[in-house]
Amino acid sequence: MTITSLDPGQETDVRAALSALELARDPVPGETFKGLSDPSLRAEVASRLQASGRVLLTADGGYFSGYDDSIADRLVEKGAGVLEPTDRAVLTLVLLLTVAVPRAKGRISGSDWTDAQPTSTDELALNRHLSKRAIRSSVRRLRAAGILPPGHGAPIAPGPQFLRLTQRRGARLWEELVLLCKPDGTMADVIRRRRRRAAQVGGER
Amino acid sequence: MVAPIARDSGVLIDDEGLIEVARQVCDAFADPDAIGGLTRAEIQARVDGAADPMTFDARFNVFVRLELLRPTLGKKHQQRYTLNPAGMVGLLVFERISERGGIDELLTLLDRTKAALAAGAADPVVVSEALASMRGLLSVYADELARLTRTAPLGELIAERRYHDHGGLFGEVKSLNDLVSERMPQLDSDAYRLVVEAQRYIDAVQTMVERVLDEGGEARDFSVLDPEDYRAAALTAHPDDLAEVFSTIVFDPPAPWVDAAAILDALDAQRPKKRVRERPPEPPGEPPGDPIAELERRAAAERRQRALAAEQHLQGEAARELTATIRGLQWPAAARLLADLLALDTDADQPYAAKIGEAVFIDPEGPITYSSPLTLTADRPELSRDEVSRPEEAKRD
Amino acid sequence: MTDAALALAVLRATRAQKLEPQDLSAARSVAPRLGRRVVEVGDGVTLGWGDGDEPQPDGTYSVYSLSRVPLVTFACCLTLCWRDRHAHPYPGRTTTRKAVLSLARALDLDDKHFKGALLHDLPGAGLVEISGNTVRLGVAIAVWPNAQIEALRRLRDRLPAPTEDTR
Repeated sequence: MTITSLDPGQETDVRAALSALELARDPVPGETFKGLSDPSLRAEVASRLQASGRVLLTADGGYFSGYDDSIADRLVEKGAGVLEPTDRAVLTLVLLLTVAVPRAKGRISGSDWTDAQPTSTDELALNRHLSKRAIRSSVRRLRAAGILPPGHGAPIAPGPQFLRLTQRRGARLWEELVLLCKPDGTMADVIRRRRRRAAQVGGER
Repeated sequence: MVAPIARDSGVLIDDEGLIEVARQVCDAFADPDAIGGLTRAEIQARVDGAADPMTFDARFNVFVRLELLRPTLGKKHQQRYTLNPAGMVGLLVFERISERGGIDELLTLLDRTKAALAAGAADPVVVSEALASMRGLLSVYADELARLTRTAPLGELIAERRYHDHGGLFGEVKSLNDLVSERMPQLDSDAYRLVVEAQRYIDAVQTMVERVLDEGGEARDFSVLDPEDYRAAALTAHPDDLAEVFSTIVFDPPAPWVDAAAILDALDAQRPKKRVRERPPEPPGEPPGDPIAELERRAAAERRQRALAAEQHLQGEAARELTATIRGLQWPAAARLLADLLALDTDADQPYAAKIGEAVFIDPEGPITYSSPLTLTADRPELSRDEVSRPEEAKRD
Repeated sequence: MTDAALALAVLRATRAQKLEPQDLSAARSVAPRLGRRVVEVGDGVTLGWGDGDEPQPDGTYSVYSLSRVPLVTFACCLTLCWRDRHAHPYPGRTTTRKAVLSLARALDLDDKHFKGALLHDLPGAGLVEISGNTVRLGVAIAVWPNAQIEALRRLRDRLPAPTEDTR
């Protein structure tokens, strides 16, 4: 339910919420913005986000904005917003060491990417193909973008940008890690088959 | 391992009769009619002559308690049971029946049967029993997996899935089927029924895996693999494969909030120890004061003086040729003026430029031997005639 | 509407793009409802804020920020590229890496940290563009809120002064 016309005060509230959602480093607390605490204003915020290819998300006790899934798919097709290969490789190492291994060991629970056990450049550099130098450059860039927690010397773990991923995107990431680590198993087979089926259906449309 | 557990449940493992009944119960489930489970009555009907009704009931209850038999969802009076191959008694039974020990055992049996057939050294009776055994096991597993997929929590499903990760199973069954057709055509229909059962088992595995993927993905449950699987990838995976993981994820470019206050605070915090231009030493006897502010005051004063001098030369014009002026000065006054004009030129805050021409005048007799044409210009369209006489105020905005 | 959504999303994800005319007009029509404005830069466009819609992070939400070294490095670039303080800093003049280094050294900035800031942090944030030896102000400055520009304009004496060898 969206409001058809807002009074100036409501318009200000909506715009203030929008700029906060789009700019903030961490999820925005609902209480501090009328545009988020008021349900009908929040619906208006969500609607306007949708108009710009974005969606309203809840994260970490607050609100955030992220790319709409179908828009993100189109962006990927264009190569827009996709990280450079080395940065992606280093980021995968981070996920494996800080999230996958500890979760598989039962040390962490929950589905929040940022719930993680930090790693180090030394540990990342144990990968036999990536140099420490390349890793350090990637870490610097990833920190600058908030994909790892920002700041020189900040922990190496998934950062606030992960909270801008939709549920579907997060599930996709999880599947990719399974494909990476057990490419020959039944799960990998089923993942690939489902994706082939989805691609066929998409092509038929 | 099993004995203490069985003892806790009040069962005597030494009861050979129990094992025999258990074996017959397992056989009962190997029948194709057993798909979807059997009722207590149906099970009893297939266990012929092994026990009187009361003993059967007691043993039946033991099987349920030890989870060899598991009730499926359904109406109470129509309660059906499926066979749980992993149930404690089931394990014991299967171990004692040797060739029924889980999918691994099935694969071993499959291999042995194929090898024997290929070598032409197979006994039809043995092959027939092997086919029946494998079919029974696959059937039981298909039912059990379907039951788990419907009712079990994710964790249990994830645990069970590990035992069903044999991607090549169906291919193996099919090649056995081909061998049997070729070498023992009389067992063709038995081999075919095995293929059918294998397909049913594989479908059940896929359905289970789909639920594991859906719920596991949503919950980010990484226990679907071992910690070592992830760690091994972290150590050995190629960067191309690592990079593939994030190939469909879009992130925002860095967008730091940069404001004037932050810039100025950073500059204040930087506090340079020296300035590039030389300053005369502080006259003695003056109170120390704030050295940075003092330097800034001096710099500002010198800038103002230079600007004032420039305005005096320009006399309100936008440009003035100063070659003659400089050449008319004595050294070092000429050098000082030149330096001041060049300093003004490089000062971004000031609208003055000193353009030095290509030509070189050589005057070996005069005070300045070498000089070039110099034009001073001022880009200050907003200054009016009135402001020219007060250039300092014009500089302030 | 989908064209606008994709166009606006592309601009967010890539910072600046050349858009097809229909996507551009779609984006322009939707942008104001979000408090945004499509701004031309070079032969493409970027996304800025509308007048009065500029964000005011007053502590009610967290923002990404630069640390001292990148900020000081940026101040040096700004000094050298923003010659006419009455005009908007963007695009401004170009300068050289050498000139920026010289100014940074005058401020006692460590060479090693300065280099990382100039070549990685600032371009990554769209604040400067480096091509070869040339340094110019980046696309992010084209949409820098006016309030910030005005504040710096007033306090311009506090920006580092160019040195003789940074002409």
